[in-house]
Amino acid sequence: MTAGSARATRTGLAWVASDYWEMVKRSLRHIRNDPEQLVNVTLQPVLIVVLVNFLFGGAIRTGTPGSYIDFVMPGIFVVAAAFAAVTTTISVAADMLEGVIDRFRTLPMAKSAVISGHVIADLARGLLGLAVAIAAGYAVGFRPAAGAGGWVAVVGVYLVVTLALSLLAALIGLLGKSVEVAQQLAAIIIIPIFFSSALVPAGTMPSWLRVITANQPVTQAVDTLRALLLNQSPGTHLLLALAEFGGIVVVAFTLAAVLFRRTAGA
Amino acid sequence: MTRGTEPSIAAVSLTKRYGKTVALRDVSFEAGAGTVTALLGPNGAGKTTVVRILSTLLRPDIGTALVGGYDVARDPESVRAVIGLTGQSLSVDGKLSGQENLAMFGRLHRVAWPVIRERSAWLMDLFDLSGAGKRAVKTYSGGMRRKLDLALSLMAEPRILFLDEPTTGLDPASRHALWEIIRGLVAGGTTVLLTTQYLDEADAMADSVVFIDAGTVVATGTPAELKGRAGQAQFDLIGVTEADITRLTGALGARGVVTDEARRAVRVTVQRSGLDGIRELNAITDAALRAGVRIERFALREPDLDDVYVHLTGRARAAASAAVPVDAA
Repeated sequence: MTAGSARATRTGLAWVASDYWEMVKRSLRHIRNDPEQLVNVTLQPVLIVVLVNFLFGGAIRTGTPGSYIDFVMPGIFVVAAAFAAVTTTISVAADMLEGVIDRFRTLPMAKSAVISGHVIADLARGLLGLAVAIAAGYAVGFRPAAGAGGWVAVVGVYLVVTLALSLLAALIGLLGKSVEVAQQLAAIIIIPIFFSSALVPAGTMPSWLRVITANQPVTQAVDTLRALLLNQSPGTHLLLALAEFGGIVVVAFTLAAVLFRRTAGA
Repeated sequence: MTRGTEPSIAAVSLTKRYGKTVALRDVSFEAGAGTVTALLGPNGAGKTTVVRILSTLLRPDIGTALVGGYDVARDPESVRAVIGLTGQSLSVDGKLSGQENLAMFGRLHRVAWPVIRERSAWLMDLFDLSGAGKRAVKTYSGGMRRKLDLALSLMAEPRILFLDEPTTGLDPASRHALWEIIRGLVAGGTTVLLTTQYLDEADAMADSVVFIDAGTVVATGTPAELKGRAGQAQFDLIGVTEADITRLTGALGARGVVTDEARRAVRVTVQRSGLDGIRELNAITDAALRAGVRIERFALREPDLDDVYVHLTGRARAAASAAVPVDAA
C-alpha cells in the first residue's frame, strides 16, 4: 500500500515534459468544452478587418505599394495575437482564484506547467486567429506577395509575438484580484498596438510620438511582417523584433514564475 | 490509539501569524500511522491553517512538521508524493469531465497510465459517479463535486490523507457513505487527518481528537477521554422566563452554564458516576426547587462532544445538537 507501487518509472525531465503536456491538454480541452472563448479569435479578427478596411481604407494613403488592406494586415495580425492573449489572462486569473490551484500546488509536479499550459495552448488559439484574419483579409482584397519561405517567417514571427503577449497576459492574470478586473486590465496589452506603425504609417505622426512608436517592439514586429508579406527583406526589423519580443518572453516568464510563487504562497 | 510505531504526522510548535493576527500559536500533536485524527474547533480556530501547513501549502513562521517522515518546509516535494488533500474550497477543474480530472491529476501525480485507467474506474464506481464520468464537472451537484474531489485525492493511493471539512455540503446519506469509504481506507493502512465542525463526525470517525480554539490546542485525547472530561451526564433545564434562569444560575452558582439565552437553557454537568452521580443530581434539583424556579422542560443525557466544546472553549455552539427535551409533567 505505498504510492510507489503505482508510480511509473521515468526520469525527472521526462516527467516535466509530461506535466507540460498534461497542462496544455487541459487548456485545449477547456477550449473544446467552452468554445465561446474562441469568439476572441474568430469573430473579432473578422470585425477588425472589415472595420479597419472600410472605415480607414478610403482615408489613409500609406505611401507603400498595394492597397491599405495590404498595409494594415500585419497590424491586424498583432491585434489578433493580442486578442488571443486576453483569454490567457482570464484562464490564469480563474485558476489562481479557484480552489484548483491548491491541488496543483500539493502535487509533485513542475509548477511552471500550470501557467505555461495556458500560454502554450494560447499559441493554438493565436494560430486560429491568424488564419481567420488572413481569410477575412483575402475576402476584402488582401493580396500578399510573400512566397512559401516568407509565410513560414511570418508565422514564426507571429508565434514569438503571441508567446510574448500571452506571457504578459498571464502576468496580468496573476495580478488581478478577480477575473473581471484581470480581464479589464488585459486591455493594456492592446494599447501599444495603436501607438505603432500597425494601423497608420509612423511618418504621419508628430515627431515626439514618432520617437516612441519607432522604437517600440510592436512597430518592429509589424514592419518585419509587412516587409515579409511584400516579399521584401525585413532587414534589422526582424532582428530587433525577435530580440525585443524574445526579451519580453524571458522577462515576463521570470516575473510570472516569481509572482506565481508569491500569489500561490509557499 | 496508534497502530503504527512511528507517527505519520508530527507537528511541533507550529506558529503562524497573518499581520498582527495570530492564526496558530505553538500547535503540537502527533497522528499515528493508520489512524484517524480529527482536528476539531470552532470557525476560525486555525484548523485549516494547520492542514495547509501540513500539506505544504503554507509555511509556518515558527515550528516544524514531519509528514510521512519528511519535513514540510525542507522537503515539500517528498511530502507531496505521499499525501492527498481535499480542501474546503473545491479543487476540481469544472471545465473538464470527471474522467479527464482523474486522468490529469493522476498523471500529474506521476501515476502510470494502466494504473490510472484501473483506479479511475474503481473510484468512479466507489463514489457512485460512473454515470457522470464523461460530463463536464460544472454540471455536477455540490455533493458530486465533493466526491470527485475526494476521488482525485485518492488517485495516487496517498499514505496520508488530509480532509478539510470533507462532508460539508453533503446530504446525510452521502456523508455516511463517505465515512464508510474513509474507514475502508484506514483499514487499508492510510493515515487520515480530518477537520470538522460536526462533532458527531469526530466522534464517529476519529481515533484521536485534537481540540483547537483561537489557534491553540486546548485538549487532545480519544473521543472517550474528552467526553470523560466533560463530566458524566448533562442536565439541561429550560426556564419559563428569563427571571427563572437568573434565579436558577444564582442557586447553582458556577455549575449552571447558560447555553442558550434565547431558549432560556441552563446546563449542569454531573461530575460523578453511579450512585454518587444520582446524589449530585438530587442536590441540583433540590437547589432548583428551593429557589422556586419554574421549569418548562428538562433533559438528562450522556455528554457528547458538544459538551466538550462548551467545557473547553467556555462557550456554547450555536448549532449544538440539543437532546430531545422531556416535557415537564
